[in-house]
Amino acid sequence: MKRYTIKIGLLLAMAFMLSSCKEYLNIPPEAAITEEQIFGSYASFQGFQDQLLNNLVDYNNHGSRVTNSVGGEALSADNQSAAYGNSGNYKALLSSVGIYSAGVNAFSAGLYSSMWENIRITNMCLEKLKSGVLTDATDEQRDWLKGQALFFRAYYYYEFVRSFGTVPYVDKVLSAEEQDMKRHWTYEKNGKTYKDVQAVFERIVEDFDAAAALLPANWPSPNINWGRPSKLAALGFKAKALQFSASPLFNQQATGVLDYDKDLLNRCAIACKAAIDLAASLVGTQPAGMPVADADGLTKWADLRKVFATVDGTQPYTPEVLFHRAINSFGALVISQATSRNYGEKQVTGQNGAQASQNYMDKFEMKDGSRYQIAYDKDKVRRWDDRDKRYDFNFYMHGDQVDKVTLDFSWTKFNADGASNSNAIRKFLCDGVTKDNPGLATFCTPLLRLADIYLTYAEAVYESTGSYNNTPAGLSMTAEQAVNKIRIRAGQPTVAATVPFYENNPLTGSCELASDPAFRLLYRNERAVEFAYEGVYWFDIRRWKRAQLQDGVQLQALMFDVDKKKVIIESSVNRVDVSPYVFKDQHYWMPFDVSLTRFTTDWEQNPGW
Amino acid sequence: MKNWQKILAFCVIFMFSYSLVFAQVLIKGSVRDKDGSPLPGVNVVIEGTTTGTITGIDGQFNIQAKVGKKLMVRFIGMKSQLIEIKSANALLAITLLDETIELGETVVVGYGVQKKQSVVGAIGTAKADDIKMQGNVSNMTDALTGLIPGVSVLSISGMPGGDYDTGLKIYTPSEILIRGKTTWNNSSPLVLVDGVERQMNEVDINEVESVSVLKDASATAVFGVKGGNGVILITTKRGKEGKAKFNVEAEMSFESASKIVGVEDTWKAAIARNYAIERTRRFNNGLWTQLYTSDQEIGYYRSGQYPYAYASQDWQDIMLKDFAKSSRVNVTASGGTKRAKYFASASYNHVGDIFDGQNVGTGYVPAYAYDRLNIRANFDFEITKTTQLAANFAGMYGVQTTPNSNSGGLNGIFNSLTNLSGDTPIRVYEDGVPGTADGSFGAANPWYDFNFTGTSSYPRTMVNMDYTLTQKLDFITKGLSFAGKLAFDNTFRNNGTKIYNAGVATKTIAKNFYLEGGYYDYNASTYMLNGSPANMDNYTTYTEPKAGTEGFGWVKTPNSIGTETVSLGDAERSLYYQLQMQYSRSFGRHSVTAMAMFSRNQSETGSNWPHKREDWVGRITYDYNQRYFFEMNGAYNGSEKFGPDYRFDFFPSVAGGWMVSNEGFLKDKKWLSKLKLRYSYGLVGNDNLNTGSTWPYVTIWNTYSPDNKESNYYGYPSAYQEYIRYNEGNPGNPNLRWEKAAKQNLGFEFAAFNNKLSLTADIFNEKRTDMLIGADDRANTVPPIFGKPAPPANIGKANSHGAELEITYRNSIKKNLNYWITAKWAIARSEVIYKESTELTLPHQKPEGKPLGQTNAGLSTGIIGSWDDLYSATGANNASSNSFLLPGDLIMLDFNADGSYYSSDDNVPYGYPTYPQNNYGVSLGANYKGFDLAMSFVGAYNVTRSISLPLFYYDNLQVASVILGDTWTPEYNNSNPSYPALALSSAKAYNPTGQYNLFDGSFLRLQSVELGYSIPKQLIEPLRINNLKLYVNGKNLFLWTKMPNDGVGMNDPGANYPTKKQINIGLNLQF
Repeated sequence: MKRYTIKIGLLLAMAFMLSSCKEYLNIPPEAAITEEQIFGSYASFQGFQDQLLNNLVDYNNHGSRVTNSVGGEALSADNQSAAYGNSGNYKALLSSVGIYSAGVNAFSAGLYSSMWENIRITNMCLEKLKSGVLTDATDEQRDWLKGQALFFRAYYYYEFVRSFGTVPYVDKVLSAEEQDMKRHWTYEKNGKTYKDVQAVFERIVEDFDAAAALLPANWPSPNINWGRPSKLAALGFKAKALQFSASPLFNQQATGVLDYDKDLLNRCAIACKAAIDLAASLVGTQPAGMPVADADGLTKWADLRKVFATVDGTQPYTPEVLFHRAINSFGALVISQATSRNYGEKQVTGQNGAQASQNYMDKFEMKDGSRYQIAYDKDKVRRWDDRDKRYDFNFYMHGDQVDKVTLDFSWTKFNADGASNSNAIRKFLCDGVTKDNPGLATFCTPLLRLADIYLTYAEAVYESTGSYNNTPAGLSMTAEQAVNKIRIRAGQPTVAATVPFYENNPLTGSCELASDPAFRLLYRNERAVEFAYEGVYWFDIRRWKRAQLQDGVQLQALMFDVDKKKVIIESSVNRVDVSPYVFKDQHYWMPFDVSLTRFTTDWEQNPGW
Repeated sequence: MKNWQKILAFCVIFMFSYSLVFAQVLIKGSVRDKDGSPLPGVNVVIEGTTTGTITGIDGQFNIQAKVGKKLMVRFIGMKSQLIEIKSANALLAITLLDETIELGETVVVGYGVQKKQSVVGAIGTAKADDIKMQGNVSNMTDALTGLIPGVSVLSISGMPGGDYDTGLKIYTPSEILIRGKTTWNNSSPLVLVDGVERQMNEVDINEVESVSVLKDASATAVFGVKGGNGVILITTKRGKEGKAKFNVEAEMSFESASKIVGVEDTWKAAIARNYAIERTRRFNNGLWTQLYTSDQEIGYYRSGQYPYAYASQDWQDIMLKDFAKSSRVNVTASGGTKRAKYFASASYNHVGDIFDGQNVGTGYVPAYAYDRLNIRANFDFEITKTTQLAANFAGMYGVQTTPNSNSGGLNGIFNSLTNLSGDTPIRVYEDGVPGTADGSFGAANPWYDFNFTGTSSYPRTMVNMDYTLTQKLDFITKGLSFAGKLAFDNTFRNNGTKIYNAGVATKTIAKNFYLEGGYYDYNASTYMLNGSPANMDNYTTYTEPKAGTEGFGWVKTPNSIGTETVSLGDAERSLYYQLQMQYSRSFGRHSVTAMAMFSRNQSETGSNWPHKREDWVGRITYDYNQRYFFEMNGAYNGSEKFGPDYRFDFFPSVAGGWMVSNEGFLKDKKWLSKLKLRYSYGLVGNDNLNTGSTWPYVTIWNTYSPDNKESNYYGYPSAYQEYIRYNEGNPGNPNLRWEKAAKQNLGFEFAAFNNKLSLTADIFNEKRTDMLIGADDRANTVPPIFGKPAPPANIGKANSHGAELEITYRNSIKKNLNYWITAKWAIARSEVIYKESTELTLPHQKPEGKPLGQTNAGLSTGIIGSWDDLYSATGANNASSNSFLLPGDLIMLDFNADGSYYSSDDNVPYGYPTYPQNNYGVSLGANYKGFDLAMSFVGAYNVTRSISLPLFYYDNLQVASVILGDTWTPEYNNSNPSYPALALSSAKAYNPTGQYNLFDGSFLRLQSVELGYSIPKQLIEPLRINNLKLYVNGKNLFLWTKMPNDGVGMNDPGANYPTKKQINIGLNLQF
């Protein structure tokens, strides 16, 4: 018996010797960052929140030739996104090349796949602010954090809903078990019931509103904070959200009525005006070195390129830009790889990307405000030289001298370069920048600029009142005045002088109807010209429910031969069909991934996919 | 007389009288060991006296002794013997046997050794000789093929150096399964080398003494959670007391590719492509004008008249050697005294390349090759009578070599064997310039890629050491001992030296040059046309390797050398220690053993957080009179993957055995050698799950740096990151807990006729519950709206069951001819009982009720024979696909009866899982005098393998022979075809293949055959050689299968190094 006692004792001793064993398997303290460490102080909380930038969109800056030019604006080689988009292959667009760019995974992720992660982050920020874990922050800093979280939640929803239609509005950090997700829902507010996609937009507008109340008009210390969402950005996006919500496509999904919602338009106009007024009041408060805006808050023509591109190592930024994705990459790499992959042309950027389609170039007016006619193709002056200033601003044509390169867009040359049309898009290139002369060039696509707010205002006022030259009640600007601000900067005649040219004069093969009033044709054309290649057009023609008018239209290129002196042989100038544009009913909404639709009957796929 | 005087007197008288009867004579004798070598220095003493002598160098002794006396023969490390002197003239021939316990009598079990007789768990064993029969294998996983019932080795790659993934090369390593797949998580068994979790593949097979495979809960329970998928225990050889013994073994192997998918000659492929073009012309008339091959051209392909314009290159012949040479040399030394014993081994192993790499003037020979040096030294020290120290040191240095070219991709080197057409690109033109890759046919020039892109090497170093200190504690209680073990392992994997080759210019010569009568004049080294040197500029397109982004102004850059870079991220360290108490004692008919153990393991890769584990283990066995056996095991395991509440769990098992043949009522049945029943039941766990986090039970917060290329900053005039970025890691599941498996095993052991016939049978079942499911698998059930990868969870149940049978018969004829035959058969079935899936998953696609790893496919029910058939058959789910349907296409089964076939709705379980459910094998052998012959067949059935056979890959002239023999295309007159009519996929966008690419993966192969001859002792003894054996050995020489290529198990990713067959010649020398 004694022996066993000893034995058991020995085992027990061993066990005691090695107690505290449970701690051995604990997470090493160095590996465990606590929530207090992250959410306890303003600086670290802001650091957590700043990961939201990872998925910010830049429609044109992407490693995989991704652009939002899928409304027929651009032609590109097969298996580039413009080609996928123009042919209606949205599934491939989403699964292989992506439609929205994002830094995290330049090739396939983007906003589409990381949308929900962003929403989770914003909700987490809001919950942590509420929980009181943040101790080391001033009240002002708390407002900033909350304002940014609300802004980003609304912003990401805004981007997503514009493409995919109604989705649930997630306003909390979900657990893995929560599966109560109905795509279709209603939202009561101010005695009104908003359905489906308009309900989503109401929540978005609420968030933007709340953010606008919390965010500063100008961030202190611009050298570290400039570009954070500001009060102006929140107001601007609020206006845009109302514009989308009011537009025929969205109104039809929510209410079945294929028309504008006038009430929403009114609210949109008021929101626009609030943004415009705030912008005007901020003129002159921009950081040192940034171009000064004119009294309307718009960038002067001479500085306009700085909205899109720089060559001196600074960010492309002017006060007209309400929000964009900051840029930290300059020089040869940007010019010979990234830009070129979107709108590059071999002779300029060294790589081939997309070229403008002739159909889209036709939207650029003549200098006198009249519309371009296909017959002008054969007229060497009217063809290119006698155009809206923004034509030159957007395109390089045959014979243009860029740095040391004289561009040759003869058929044989552009075909050899693998290009699809005889032009190169120059909007995102400063003058003289080529692959051999990149300097510290960079480029960026604004996510929202004040010019859009002016034109949004014009659309809202005109479509709700039916008049472009009456001042609406409670507001001080007519639709005409708003459009003129943009036209005058570009040196184009005013609306009054131009409207007659649009009377019963829609472009063939476009999204325009002969029955459209002249001013509608005009402001819509103005949007296409002003925001060319900024990822606006495809959203517009869907929003207006006009995109299907373009279905089956042949996207065209202009071809010509040159003589030995590289002079165009006029008799050879010829407009040719390149590929048909496809837009069926199903293309109004992006297809969801099956992982969402297989999950529950409540989450139905968009029709036709 | 006093008493002592009486005794003395008696003795004197006795001795005197004794000597009168038995006079002393000179006795001669010799002492040898069991191998027949003379033993010098052996003590020979007359029993009961101090009179004795010592054997000389030749093992001989002379001693004066009397007939009838006994001689005690003693030698360190040998069993002493008592020899009676029967006659004066006899020459005593004494053979001493090793004292050490023969391993056959014991079995290595978890944390110990048990007598084979008392084992109650299901344990399969293989000994050194069995393993070495497998031929010259450098990979321990492959060496286990077919050796132990219930163990299946899945292998589809013959890559030298095995499964080291360089990140660029894609191939699948061999996988090992014990009793089939029982979980959808990692099914790999736990592998311990000398009791420490280690990599199995780099162990040299010459170092291995035995392999134990623990299959049931009773055997694996002591490993608790780690043993859920079975355990493989590898024990290395140790020194034995005695004089030094040396063993030298040298082997040379000749290897060639085993079965590869056969492809048709160019001219046959051209005819086939014509049929395909004719059939699909309605969809793409362009192909007709571009690709239709005229009869005249087919004639050129067939006759080889224009070998550089209408080529019929056999890429398998071009790319592969007739045979590769591999070699292995091994030297071991062992021996020692009672105080210190040693075993030392050094091996060099070279695995050659079956691809035909050449020095094409580039100064190097590219190859897939592997060179490995293994060194091991195992020591046993007896520090005091009760204290022993075992110290093992093992080192490995291996260098894997690969060409820099892309080997795995669809256009890569491996696929060139089957996906490339014989006519393009031209391997190399007459003047030595390689042909340019043909982009339009997706055809890289594999010969160029292989030889002109340089080589890389990937050295790996492994240094393992472990020490075990055993202290007997008999002073506390008899039979008690304590053991402590410490193991420290290091592995380094580096990027070795590289040769970069920018390549050379390649060219394409237009066909019409040759058709116009052009040719190459080898004497003048010029191309000639119409009797004068041709202006080749008109016919040749040169392609220079790209320099920079542009490719202009290209000059051949000299090869450059890349130096070895240490990659700390791939360095692995592991520290393991265990403390163990053992107790073993018999009390009359009762035998008791007990074991308690505590261990911790910490392993880390690079600068990652270390992985930790802690185990508490106990075992009690009881044996009554060698008739009734009882065993209880328990493991208390902790895993860092689970939260404090679930971290530790207890995994017990119980087992019992009954040796019926030792019962009294059977004692007199002489024919019965053994009859034993055993049963075990136990619980094991599993935490083996890829969760994306070391601590999946909790959400980890991280810091990170944003991708600086694509901004993510604020600030003006330049973007700037002000704050440290934090983010949320994968969300944790605080309720995450062990996956549990309840295992039962019933075993039956039988032997009869003096062990000539023996049989072992086992049946088992297993129920897994709380099965872990990781984020990847939950992606569909936790929708993306959650915003993060789903937390892992315990959602799943699966059952499995099966049986194993092994029968051996061995006998001798007239003592000279010994022979034996063994048959093995194993079956394992699994079934998913529950696995989380989406609400809208179609019933026939739910995993429940099907085996783990079930193959799914769309099914075809026949072939559309006519236009009438076509209009009445179910079509695809969209108009554009339907517009491509033609007679000769497959009729696809509309499984959910919604009116159309759509793969994601109508695919159903088909065939068997991707791993074999049934494995069998037969091995037999015989020896006669110096000759021995052994062969082993290994087979499997109930397995489905997906092998995608390309057809007209990128429209080129490529057809797998299997397809032509099975296509509906009427011209081929195939009876009962199962493949649709030939079509070019570029013309016809909808080509369902149904289940065609799923092959019956059953096979039977001659796994190994060996013929050996041991040189007779009398010839080699004068050379002081104990044993010299010469042998010829073949591995994988014959394969019977319906598969078009050789591989087992996993689906063929179509990008693997071919599997190999092998012939070895070798010699084994012992002295």
